[in-house]
Amino acid sequence: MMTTQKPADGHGPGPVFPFSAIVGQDEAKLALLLAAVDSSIGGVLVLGDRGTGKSTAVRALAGLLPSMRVAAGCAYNCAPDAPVGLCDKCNAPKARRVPVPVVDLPLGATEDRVVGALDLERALVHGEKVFEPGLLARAHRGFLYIDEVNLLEDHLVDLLLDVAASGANVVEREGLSVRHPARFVLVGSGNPEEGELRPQLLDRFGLAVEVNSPRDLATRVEVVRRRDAFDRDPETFTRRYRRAEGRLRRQLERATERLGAVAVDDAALEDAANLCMALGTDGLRGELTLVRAARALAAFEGEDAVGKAHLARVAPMALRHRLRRNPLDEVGSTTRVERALAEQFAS
Amino acid sequence: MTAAHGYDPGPWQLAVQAAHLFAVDPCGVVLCAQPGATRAAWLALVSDLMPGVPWRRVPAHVDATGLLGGLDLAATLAAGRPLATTGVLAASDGGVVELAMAERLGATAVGIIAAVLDDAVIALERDGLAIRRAARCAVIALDESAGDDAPVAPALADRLGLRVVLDGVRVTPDIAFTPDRAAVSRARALLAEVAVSDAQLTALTEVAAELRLSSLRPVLAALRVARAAAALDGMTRVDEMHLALAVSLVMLPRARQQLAPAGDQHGEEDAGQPDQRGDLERPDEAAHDGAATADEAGAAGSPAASGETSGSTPAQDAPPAGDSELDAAAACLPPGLLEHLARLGAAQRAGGRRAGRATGAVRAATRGRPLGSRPGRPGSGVRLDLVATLRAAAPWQRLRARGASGRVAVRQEDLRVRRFKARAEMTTVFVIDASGSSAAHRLAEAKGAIELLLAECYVRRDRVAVITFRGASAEVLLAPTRSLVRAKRALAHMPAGGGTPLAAALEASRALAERVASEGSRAQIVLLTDGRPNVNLAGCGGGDAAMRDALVVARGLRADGHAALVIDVAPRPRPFTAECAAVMGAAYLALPRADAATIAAAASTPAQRSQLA
Repeated sequence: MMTTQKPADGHGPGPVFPFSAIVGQDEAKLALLLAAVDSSIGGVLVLGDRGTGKSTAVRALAGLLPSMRVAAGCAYNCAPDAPVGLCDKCNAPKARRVPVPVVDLPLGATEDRVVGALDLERALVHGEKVFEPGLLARAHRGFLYIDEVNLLEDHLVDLLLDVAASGANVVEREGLSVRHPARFVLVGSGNPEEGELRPQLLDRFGLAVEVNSPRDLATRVEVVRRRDAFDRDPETFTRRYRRAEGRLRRQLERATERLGAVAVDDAALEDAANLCMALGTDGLRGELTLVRAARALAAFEGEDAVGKAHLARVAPMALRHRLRRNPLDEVGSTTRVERALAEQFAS
Repeated sequence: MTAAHGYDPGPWQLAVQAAHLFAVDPCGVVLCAQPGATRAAWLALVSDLMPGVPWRRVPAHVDATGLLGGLDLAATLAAGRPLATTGVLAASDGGVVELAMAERLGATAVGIIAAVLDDAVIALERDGLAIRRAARCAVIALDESAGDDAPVAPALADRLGLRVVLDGVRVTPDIAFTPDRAAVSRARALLAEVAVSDAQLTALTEVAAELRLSSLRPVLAALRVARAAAALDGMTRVDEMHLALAVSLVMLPRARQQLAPAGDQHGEEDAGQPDQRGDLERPDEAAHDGAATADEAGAAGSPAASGETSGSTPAQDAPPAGDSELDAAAACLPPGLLEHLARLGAAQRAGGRRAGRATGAVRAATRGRPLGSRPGRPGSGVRLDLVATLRAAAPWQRLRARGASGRVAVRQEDLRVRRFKARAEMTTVFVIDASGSSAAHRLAEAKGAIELLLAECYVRRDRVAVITFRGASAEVLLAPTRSLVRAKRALAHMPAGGGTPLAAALEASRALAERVASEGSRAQIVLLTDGRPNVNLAGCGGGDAAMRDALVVARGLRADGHAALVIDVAPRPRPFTAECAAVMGAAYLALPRADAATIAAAASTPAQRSQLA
């Protein structure tokens, strides 16, 4: 028996594997970085086999992200210059820098804790009706990570996708009526062998990447070597990568600042449209994501305009999950995207 | 691992070593053994080696509340403020969690335990509580699966380092084993100093690649085990013996298990069942080679990698038959067939002998679409609806509060529990006639028809299983799975030819359907045959006896109440197939003859296809 504790009581998941120490997984790392540069890309889905370090990459991102300014003590992560005013802390905001939140949605979480619900303690002790914000509020302006997204109950997944798309969490339950901003990047990971993802769910994620176990021995050895070193002595290992992490963090910060200045000319838009048409993706969401991801990539690499090369690099992750496919088709969607790329961008 | 070992100290000695290693560095065990004296002896040995460590046994039907904890209702009501129960995992921080019948754990429980193994922390976000607690657990998963049963979930097995197989091992009191507690505590102190050279690390990685273990977790586990083994020997350097031991306790059993169900893959049968001794020696050599020079290791690694790719190519260039048959079958199969079948099955059950036994509602208590709440007692998987409870209690507060201290007074009659409407999960069992006569006719077309039905299953998120029958017996080609890619692959490699043991096939499908039902899911059977049974249950030839047996088993299937569909793929359907379907209580559908010309025509223009339909 124990009494309830508010979160963050020091039992965090412990030291985090440094992002820059991850071997391989280039596409997954790039997708996460792009989503961090431009949150409007709309989430990342990481699919892969067991033991390929899907969660490691996402958790590592938490250690990498630059800090952000919030109103001190605000449960909704309000920016100090634009408070929403739902909690009393926001009325006289004092600015504080905190790490960008990467909130884990643990398996077995119930809906009331995800969207927020009646504050149990106050209801029981004082008979007061007060809203207690949930995980969605905590993830505002950050990332929400769902491991094993294919094991999550359907109604929770629907709810999360809906909030992620609209950027606001509307709670109408238990006589409470609350609306608060919840803009976050949804990151899901899963192993398709342990249950298929609903097809409708796939294209709600902006980017989709596939992670495989490395095939060549040298890479596998390096993965084992670093992981083992980290497990044995996390502090020393993390220290070794501190400078690399710092460099990457500064690059991220610069990219975020630069994003607005990156030009997307008509030729690039046309290229994107042609590619989507050739692949027969449904709707405009594919094109939009493709262009945004390419722009984020250009910003990340410090360039001024989006070119063919940027589009080509992000096309597989932006489009592979949007193709109409025969569910039993063995030909991977990645191959189809690559084929279309080769045809369209041949010149 | 056959049961023929009898008195053989070999595997038991290995198990004893595993117990010591686990006590030194608890990196998790999957213990494959039927319940009995041997298993009990091993568990007793482990607990002997880890004195004073909390040890919790978790039943297979454990739910999220049991594992993580949740709102403690009685205490909350008594205290007037929210109090949480401690789940098993948090309560076992620093101790051992023994998972009984781990192969039967639900997907959510597996996910939760896997997350705890990764993070050593429980994250509870339930019932208005948000709690994080340390949970460094050593997990022993008892795997009692036998024969066709599914083993421990891969997500869990992958994270548990050691694997101890005790089936067929008998422990008699005269086998001496002494729990060496002193050595264990010395080793624990020494563990942090044990070094593994880079060549050794490379060698282990290489052995894993050679054994086609694609996950890298076993390599990391083997490293831990090798270190523990060195520490047990009082050494600070890992030597080749330790590496070999780690390989035989961590990697070999995995490789063996991986090979076992892959019998349908070509050529792997030979590699799958080598005699045990030779198998044990191989990694030794491999470890040797790898340790000798890194170059050599690299060279030896590449054939393994290329072997892996060549193994997967046949799946891709599967028979180019696909499209035309698919179209032909498309013309013949009415859409929504399975949907219809499901309804049919439901109606049948309602009217049949099993009326009143709501099989589909087994798991309805905890998941699915919320249905509101009703008065009732929480517990055994039924969750409290706190808000509804408070709402029910609210009007009475003034009356009850007489003299009380401002707390909300909640009484038992106020309790409300959640109700959910679970979508009963469906497993479609395809029973496919791969006999010579059927193959000659239209096995390829039948495959086309199955692919269509599979696509329908995909949309409905059903599970599928495949049983084929030919020659003298039926075999489960694919155990129930949600991965349709695997189902398709299984079909692509389906061997054909031989007699038609229809009775055996029906018997096998009945057994599988029963197993599915026992897992809380519903089963429907889709039988594709040309209806010419010529092998009876005993495996002997003869048309009449074969038909008789088939009808007997078919009657049994009807009694079990599983929905069924018989698709007749014979060029000229015979009355027997329809009769058999009737006896089974199955819907009957003849897939009419579509010769090559019609197929080609149907494939070429959609207009002609619609004429065909």
